[in-house]
Amino acid sequence: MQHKQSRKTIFITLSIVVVFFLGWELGVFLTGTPVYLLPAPSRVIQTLLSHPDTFAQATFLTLGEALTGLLIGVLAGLLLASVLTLLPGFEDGVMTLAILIKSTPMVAIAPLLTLWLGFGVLPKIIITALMSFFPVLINVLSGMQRVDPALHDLFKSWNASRWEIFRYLRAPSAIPYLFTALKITGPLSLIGAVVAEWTGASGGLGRTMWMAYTNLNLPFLFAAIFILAAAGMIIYRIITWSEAKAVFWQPAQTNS
Amino acid sequence: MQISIQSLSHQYFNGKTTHALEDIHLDISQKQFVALIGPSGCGKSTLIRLIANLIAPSQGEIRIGEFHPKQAIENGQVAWMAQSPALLPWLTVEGNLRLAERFQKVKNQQPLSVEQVLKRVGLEGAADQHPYTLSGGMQQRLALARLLLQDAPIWLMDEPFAALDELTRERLTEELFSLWKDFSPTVLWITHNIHEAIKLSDRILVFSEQPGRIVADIPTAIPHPRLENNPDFQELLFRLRSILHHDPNGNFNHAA
Ligand SMILES: Nc1ncnc2c1ncn2[C@@H]1O[C@H](COP(=O)(O)OP(=O)(O)OP(=O)(O)O)[C@@H](O)[C@H]1O
Ligand SMILES: [Mg+2]
Repeated sequence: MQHKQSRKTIFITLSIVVVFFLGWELGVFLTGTPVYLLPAPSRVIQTLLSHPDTFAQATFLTLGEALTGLLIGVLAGLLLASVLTLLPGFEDGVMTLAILIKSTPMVAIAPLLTLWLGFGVLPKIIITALMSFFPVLINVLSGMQRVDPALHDLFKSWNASRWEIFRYLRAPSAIPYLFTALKITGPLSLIGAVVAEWTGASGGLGRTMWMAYTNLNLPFLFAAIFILAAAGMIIYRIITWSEAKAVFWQPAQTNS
Repeated sequence: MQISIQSLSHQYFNGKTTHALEDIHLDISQKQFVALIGPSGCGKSTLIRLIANLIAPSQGEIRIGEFHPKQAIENGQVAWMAQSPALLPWLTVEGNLRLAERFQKVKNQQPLSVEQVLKRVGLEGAADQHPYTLSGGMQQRLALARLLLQDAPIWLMDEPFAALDELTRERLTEELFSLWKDFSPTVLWITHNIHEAIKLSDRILVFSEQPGRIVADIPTAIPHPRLENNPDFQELLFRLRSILHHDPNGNFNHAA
């Protein structure tokens, strides 16, 4: 039953993707749109395959920045959520500061970081980390705070300490919330790295895109977009797959 | 271990004041099985939560042996169980019990092992299963096993089987009775079922409508097994029904 369902889902997904690209290809062909406005998908793939090293290097760099930033942001978010749960007196102050930084647009911070730290990977990692940090902090914090009251009472009746309640109840209760945050920040981390690269970089997909754009080399630009879209999707899939493994006790989402 | 309660009143304040309990005086002797019945919202759960130190009383005093509720909880004198089985969903049946074992207080008695309590409640075959794979009845059995593991001389039970179907509830109620005979704890047991209260308890406390007061304190001296066709059983049933339907405040309610 379950198996059949997922097969059907895969089939529908593939059909939609195929129809989308066929329509695009056909549209470009029939209207005779010039390649400097919108290249056909076949042309984009061709470009991709004819510069494998260039794209592989750029992808490797951007992915490295994005995942490093993601990791740092997630760890920092987890750490701060834990500290605020264990020492609730600090919550208001820290959250005010956090929301203040969060409200500052990243596109404004990115050029500044590049100005201060140069064209290397560091500003990209910082931007990505900052973008991943807040969703993790906010989701995990509410997961740690909103535990099942019956379970909380049980631990109280066991005379459990604040730390023990955190260790055995609050931390595991926050795992589903962590995955909710990861599903947002995982694909977003790529965007963070790319946006940071636009403000100045010595390599990466963002730089490839920016160069292609200034040269009106649209097949190159779209090739980078294809890679980003595919990478974002793969990251998202890895996260949902790990979620199903890690949060096995919650029934899968139903949609009927 | 006996429980003694002096001039106990409790109010909740959130937006408006709710007078949950008013001027409760109560002495429960060691190893007594006491049933608490009364209309919904009359403060039964409040009383049990006060004894379990889950909330602090507005006025009055509770003594468990020579201890305050807080000390009694610290010493592992009190075990608490409610309608929700309060199981940790990410742990197996055995994992849930191992966790409870961690919080077991060392006392003079020889505490039961995880294997022993599993066997006692008939869950020895389900040790490696997760709670979400258990039926509601099995989940409450696990909660009972966990209660046994705590090895406390006082059991506070807030409608432990109320969410189960009638057949399962009857079976588990019998099981509770047999546990009480074997381990002789002092039991405070909230129930909505007058038949069950008469069948099991040594003493029945009837609460008035809000604010909760004790309006009747009836010893049940019918010899076991108590069959419903026993005239004494019927007489007590009739008496309890008339108290519940017309309590001395002149209120009418549908608690029965
Ligand atoms: N945390 C709370 N804050 C405010 N009011 C509360 C709270 N808990 C209970 N009350 C109120 O106190 C009164 C007594 O509640 P309690 O839960 O003790 O009743 P009960 O006798 O256990 O009822 P039931 O049989 O329905 O379980 C009710 O009016 C309830 O609304
Ligand atoms: Mg109640």
